[in-house]
Parts: sequence; structure tokens; C-alpha cells
Amino acid sequence: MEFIVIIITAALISNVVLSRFLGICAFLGVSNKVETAKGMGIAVIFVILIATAVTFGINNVFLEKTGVFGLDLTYLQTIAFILVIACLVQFLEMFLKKFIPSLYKALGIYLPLITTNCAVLGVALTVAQDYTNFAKGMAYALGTSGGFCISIILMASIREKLEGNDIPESFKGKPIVLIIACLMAIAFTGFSNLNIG
Amino acid sequence: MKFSSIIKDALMLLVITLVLVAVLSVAKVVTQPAIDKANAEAQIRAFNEVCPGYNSSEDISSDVVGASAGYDATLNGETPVLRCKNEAGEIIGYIVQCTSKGFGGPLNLIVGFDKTANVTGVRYANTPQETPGLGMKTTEPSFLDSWLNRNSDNVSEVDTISGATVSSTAFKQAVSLACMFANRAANMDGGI
Amino acid sequence: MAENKENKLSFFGCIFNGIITENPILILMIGMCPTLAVTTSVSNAIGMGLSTTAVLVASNALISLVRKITPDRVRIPIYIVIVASFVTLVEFLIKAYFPSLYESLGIYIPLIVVNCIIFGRAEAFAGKNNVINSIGDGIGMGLGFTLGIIIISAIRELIGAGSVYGFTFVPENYRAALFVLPPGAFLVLAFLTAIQNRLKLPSATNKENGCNNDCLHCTLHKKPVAEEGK
Repeated sequence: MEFIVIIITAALISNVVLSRFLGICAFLGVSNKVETAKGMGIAVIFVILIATAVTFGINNVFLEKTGVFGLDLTYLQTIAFILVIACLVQFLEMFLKKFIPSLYKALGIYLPLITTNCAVLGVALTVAQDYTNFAKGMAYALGTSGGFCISIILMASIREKLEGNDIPESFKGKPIVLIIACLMAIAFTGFSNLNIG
Repeated sequence: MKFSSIIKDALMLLVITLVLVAVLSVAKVVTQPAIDKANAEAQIRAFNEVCPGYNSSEDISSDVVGASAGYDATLNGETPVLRCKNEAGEIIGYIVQCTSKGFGGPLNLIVGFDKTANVTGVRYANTPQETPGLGMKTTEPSFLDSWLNRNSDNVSEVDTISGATVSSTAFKQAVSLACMFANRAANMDGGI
Repeated sequence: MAENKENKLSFFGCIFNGIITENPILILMIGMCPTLAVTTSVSNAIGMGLSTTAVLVASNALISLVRKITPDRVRIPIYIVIVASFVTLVEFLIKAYFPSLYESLGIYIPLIVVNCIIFGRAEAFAGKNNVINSIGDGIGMGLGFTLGIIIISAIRELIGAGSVYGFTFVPENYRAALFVLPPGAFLVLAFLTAIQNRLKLPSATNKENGCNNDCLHCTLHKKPVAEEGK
């Protein structure tokens, strides 16, 4: 039950994009088509889950006071995590290319864009700081990345419907996308009255 | 040739990383006292806010521990229950630090009491991650002030915020727990 | 190659470029995450803006300084390490001397690392230009960023909380709390960009080639440099 609460809270109630503003660049930039949005969303879930698992391990084994060095190195979290994420994404790209070409074809072009997606580092840092339980941390990571995937696909679906519509001249391009984001954010605040947990 | 250039590149990265980590470690050691001082000052300011006249305190957590069954909250920190003294060293009240599970994360509260275990102030120890406009209403003065002068007998009468039920109920659980411990402490010192 | 173009750029030219011509928020529209997240009040925006400026100037300077000895293949991890170190340094300083700012900015301080502006400038400018110009570019881009988020936060704080930098202007009954909530951030930015479109001001929104969403291979500055080199 607690896991469901964590996942729903992270995915809907405090949605990573619409209420915490992480991963905005990808949300606004890669949401023209549902197809690409789907690819990006799934790639983000993939990377966030792996990155969170790896950084959680690194944090507990090396950086925490209880780790192998016996020193409180948590101040190195930022530098260690971003480096790990960058290497991981690179490695993932090579791995998929070589061993799972079908998945590489679907996600490959999004992977390089994900290193600087602040949602990835944001989740890794939050889990390292707030969660001591690995399973709960992973549930949080799953909820957050799932929330990203949901909102980017919703955004892309709305944008596809807008094509050919009569949008005021000044609002063409970015402004209308931001207005959609605003309305989605209002809709998502509705979830905050969900009584769970 | 190719292999050696990879090694060279990797070494370069390693050297730069090590140098920067060393610089950071030095910076950590240099700024740590200032960070500790800032934290300590912030804590004294917070204590003063909930327990006016606060000057020093002693940890009485182990004297008042007991079952906290029935509360959806727990004590928080290494020294959760404090007996507070003013500058002259007289007992002026108690501070209880407790935590409960809010909507977006933990609600860490600092609750101050006078000698007879009536609430003199409540504030957050951290900025809670509650929903803006709803759960965050629990950070507003009007809500915080509604707890003043309550004690373990009538704390349950304080109204929760409609629309922010989870946050304000969690808040209430934490304050109720604090009241219970303050009551015990006051009993022990003969304040009640 | 890029080195030859350096003399065409001056220190102050770089500063001006960052604040006005290529303002990262209002013109290039990059670094959107902190732009939307911390602009609930002007004081937060100033804190965020100046922290980012500090990181940007320092990392630009160091990246430019080591650009000759940086192997091309590992340059991105090196940039990452440099930027992350400066962010951690700034985090220490804020924790020590501005604890209340640290409270209100929270996780967005370490996330300065992934602010597109910083990697973008490293890749598009500092890795190719001399130290003086890179510092100028850092100052300009940093202040341009600060200016942009101050404008957005002033609008949000005024309409949403009735005050600017804590000074109250609007009575309580005339405020629209929506503007300090997440949707308000999108709304303000939407109208700002719509106004830019309307007035045909230069902006990423009415240019064909905007941000490529790949901060590590930022292309936003490459063209203007080439033009100036002509």
C-alpha cells in the first residue's frame, strides 16, 4: 500500500514537470509528436530507474558515513551523481546499440538529451537524501519518471490536436505550448485533493 | 597508439577530478564551522520563537520517554524533548521536536510550551513539501496561531483545514504528541 | 580556428551580448527549469540568479583556462566535473552565509549543475575562447539570466502575492494566488513570449533554429560567432 501511495504522489500529486518544474526543456522541446514524446518518456523512465539504483548504491557504499571510507562525503553527491549519470547514459547507449538494436532504434536518439535532464539528477539527489529504504526510493523514482512520461505524452497529444487550428498569431509557437502547460498544471493541482495514505 | 591515447585522456580526466575533489574537501573543511554556526544560530532563533525568553536548554528526552501509541507521529532528532531556561537559569518551559508524515514528505515541527505545558508557539523545522495553496496553508500564521495556549486536554479541538486534510491532520497528530510529552515533563517538574 | 575570431569580440561586447542580444531567458529561452521553479518571489530569483552567475563565471574561466590541455574526447566529462565542483562550492557558501536562501531554494541549488545555460556556454563559448572573454560571457549570461528571472518573478509576486521584493502593493482581496502556484509560472512565460512574438522581437520562439534540447552539444552560440568572424 505504501508503495502505491509513493508512486501516485510522485506521479500525479507532485508531478515532476507540472509542479516541480524538472525536465521542462524536454517537456517543451520534444513534445511535437506523440511518437517522439513516447520515446522520450520511456527513455527517461529507463534512465531514471537505472541511474537512481546506481547512485543509491554509490551513495550508501562510498559517500555516507556508514560506507567503506567511514567519512561523511555526502557533499560530493552532486559531482559524483552527475558524472555517474553522464557515464551511465553513454554506456547505456553503447550497450543498447550493440545488444538490443531494436530498443536502441526506439530510444537511441533521446539518450544523449537525457544527461542534462534535471529530472534525472533531481530524483537521484532526492532519493539519496530522503530515502533510506532502497525499494521505497525506487518506487519514488518509478512514480516520478512515470509522471514525466504521462505529462509529456499528454502534452504531445494535445499539440497534435492543435495542428491546423486557428491560433492567434502572437500565440503561435512557444506561447501556446506554455498556455497548454499552464492548463495541464491547473488540472494536475486537482490531484492534490486526493485523500490517500 | 590508440589505446595509449585513451589512457592519456582518462588520466587527464582523473587528474582534474582529483584536483577538484581535493579543492572541494578543503573548502568543506573551511566552511564547515560557518555552516555549523549558521545552523546553531537558526536553531536558537527557532527556539526563541516558540519559547520566548529561551536562553539554554537541557535534554530530558530520556526522562519522559514512554509509549506514544495512538499517535501518528514520532519524536524527531537526537534531543527531542528539551527543558528550557531563561538567562537567569529559571525553567520557563519545554520544547518538543516531532515529526509526522505530511502529504509531500515529513512535517518536522518544533513546539514550544510554558511551564504548565500550554503551547507557546509552533513552527516548522524544515520548509515542508506540501501542495502550495492547500497543504502549505499549514505554514500560515493564522493556522500556526490557532494552536497557542492549547494543551493535551484541548488540543484535539483545533480545527483542521478543509481541503488540506492530510497536511493539517498530520500537523495535529504531531502537536498532540508534543503536548503529551510536554505534559509528562511538566508533571515531572511539578509544573502541573 | 575559433581562436582567430576572438579578437573580434571584446570583454564588454561579451557582457552586452549576454544581457541583451542573447539574453538566455528572454531571447534564447534556455534554462527553463529554475526560471519556472524559483520565480515565486523576487528575493528567490535574485539568490538563484547570482548563484548561477557565480558558477557560470567561475566555470567559464576555468574551462577556458584548461581548454588547450583538455582532450577533445573527454571534454564533456571534464566540463561536468568542473561545473559540479563550482556548484558544490557555491552550495557551501550559501549554506554558511545565507541559510534562509538555502532553505527556500533547496534542491534547485545542486540542480544548477544541469542548468542548460552553464553547459551550453561551456560547450558553445568557453571551450573555444580566451579567458577574459569567457569571464565576460559568464558575467553577461549570468546577469542576463538574473535579469530575466527577476522580471518573471516580479510579475508573479506582484499579481500572486501582491508584493515585490517583500514590499506589499496590492491589498489582499485583489491578488490572484494562481500566479505564485505552478500554473502561474507557465502563464506568465506564455504571455511574455506572446508579447515578444507580437512585437516581432528577436526570440527563440520566432526563429527556426532554436534550442536543440541537447545542452551538452549546445549550438546556440555557434552561428553568431561565425558571423562575427566574417
